[in-house]
Amino acid sequence: MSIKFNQEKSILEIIEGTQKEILSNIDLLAKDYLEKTGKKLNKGCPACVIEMLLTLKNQYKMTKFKFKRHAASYKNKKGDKTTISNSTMTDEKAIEFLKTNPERIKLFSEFPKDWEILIITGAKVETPEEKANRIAIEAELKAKEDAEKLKAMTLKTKPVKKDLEKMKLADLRKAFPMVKDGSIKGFIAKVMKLPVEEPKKEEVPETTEKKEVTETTETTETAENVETSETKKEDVEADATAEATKAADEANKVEE
Amino acid sequence: MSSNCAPKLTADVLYDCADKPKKGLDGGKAIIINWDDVDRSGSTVTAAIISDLVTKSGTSGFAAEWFKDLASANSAFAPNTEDVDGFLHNFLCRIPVSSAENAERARELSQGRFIVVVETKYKGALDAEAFKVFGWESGVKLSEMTYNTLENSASMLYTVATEEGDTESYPYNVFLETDYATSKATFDSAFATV
Repeated sequence: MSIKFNQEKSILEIIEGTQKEILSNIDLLAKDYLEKTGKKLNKGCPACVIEMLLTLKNQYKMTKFKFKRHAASYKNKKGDKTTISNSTMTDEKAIEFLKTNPERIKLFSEFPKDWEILIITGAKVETPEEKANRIAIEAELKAKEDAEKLKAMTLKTKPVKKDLEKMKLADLRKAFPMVKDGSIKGFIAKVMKLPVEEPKKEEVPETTEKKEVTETTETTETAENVETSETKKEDVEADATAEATKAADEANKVEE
Repeated sequence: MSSNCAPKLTADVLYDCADKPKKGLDGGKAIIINWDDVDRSGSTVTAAIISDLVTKSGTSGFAAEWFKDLASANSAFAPNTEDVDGFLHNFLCRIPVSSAENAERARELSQGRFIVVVETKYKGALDAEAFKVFGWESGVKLSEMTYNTLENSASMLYTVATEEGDTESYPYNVFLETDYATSKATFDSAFATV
C-alpha cells in the first residue's frame, strides 16, 4: 500500500514537472495510463500524450467514480455542450450526473458506498480516516508556510539602532519591506525585534566595551580593595606601634 | 409518366470562396448505432437535417476508431428501372487488431443493421454541417470484410452499405442539434440515452 502511494506521488510530481521530466519518464506514465484506462499510449502522437497527461491529472484528483466502459462519454442533460468521461471525471460531475438520474449508477464500475447520500446532500462526506489525513496535510502545509514566512523575515545581520534612526521612514520601508508601521519609532522597534540569521556582529564591539568597563570596574574594585587593605595594614601597624610604645613606657616605669 | 413526386430545382448551387470544400473525416472516429436502438418517434428530421437523433432509453451508439485517414464515407446515386431511385450509402473502416474481442465485433457487424454518424473535416458556415449521417432511412449492413495477415497491418477492413433494393433519399443527412458544440457533445457521448 505504502509503495503504491509513493509511486502515485512520484507520478503526480512527474506530471506537474517540466516537459523534460515528463519526456524522460514517459514509459512510467504510459504504464500507469494503461493500468488506469486500459489504453496504450502512442508515444509518437503528441495529441495522445497530452490526452494521457490530462487523464492522469484527473485520475489523481482522487475521484471515487469510474465508468465501466473505458471510452464512455455521456451528456448529463439534453442540450448540454459538455460530456463526462473517465478522463474528465470529478466527484462533483459524477454526483450531478447521478442526481439527474440515479439509475445511471449502473454505468459505473467504481463509486463510493454512500453515493446515495452524496446525491441528496451534494456535500462531500469525510470518513474519520480522510478527516485525520486532511488535518495532517493541512497542518504540514501550514508549518511549511510559517517556516517560509519566517525565512522571508529573517535578517542576515543585526541592524544598528543609531543607523536606523538616521533614516527616513520611506527608506526604512524599502530596506525592510516585511515590517509595517506608521511611525519611525515603532518601525525601528519592530526591526530590532526581527530574527537574525548570523551571529550578531554589532554586539561584538558592545561586548568588548562591556568587558573593558567590567575590567575597569574590576581594576577599580581591586585597587579599592588594595587601598582598603593597605589602610587596614597601616592601621594594624599603627596599632602595633602604639602597643609597642605602650609596652616600652610600662617597662621604663618598672625600672624607675 | 406522372411527375407528381418529381421535385424541381429550387435554388442556386454556388461556389463561395469563403466556404471552400474540404475532404476527409475528422476526429478519428465514427459512431455506429444499432438500427433497433434508434428512437424514430423521438427524433426530429426536417428534410436532410436531423436536429435530434435519439436512441432508446438505456442504449447508445458505439465508437469505431481508426488511425491516419483510413476510414471514409461515400454515397452514389443509383437509378433503378424497377425500384425507387435513390442514393446508396457506404462507410469504409477497419478493425485495427485481430483480437478475440474484435472477432466478436466483426461477427456482430456481420449480423446487424446500423446507422453511421461521422464528423467531416468540412464543417460549413458556423460549423453547422460537420456531422453526416449515413443509412438513416434504410440502414447499412456489412457488405464486405477482409482479413489478411500480410496486408494492411493485419487489420480487418470492412464496408457497411445500403442493402441491395434499399435506397436513401439524400446522399447524406446532416446532424445538427442546435449548434456545433451541442452536436459535438452528443456525438462524443455516442448518442447515449441514459
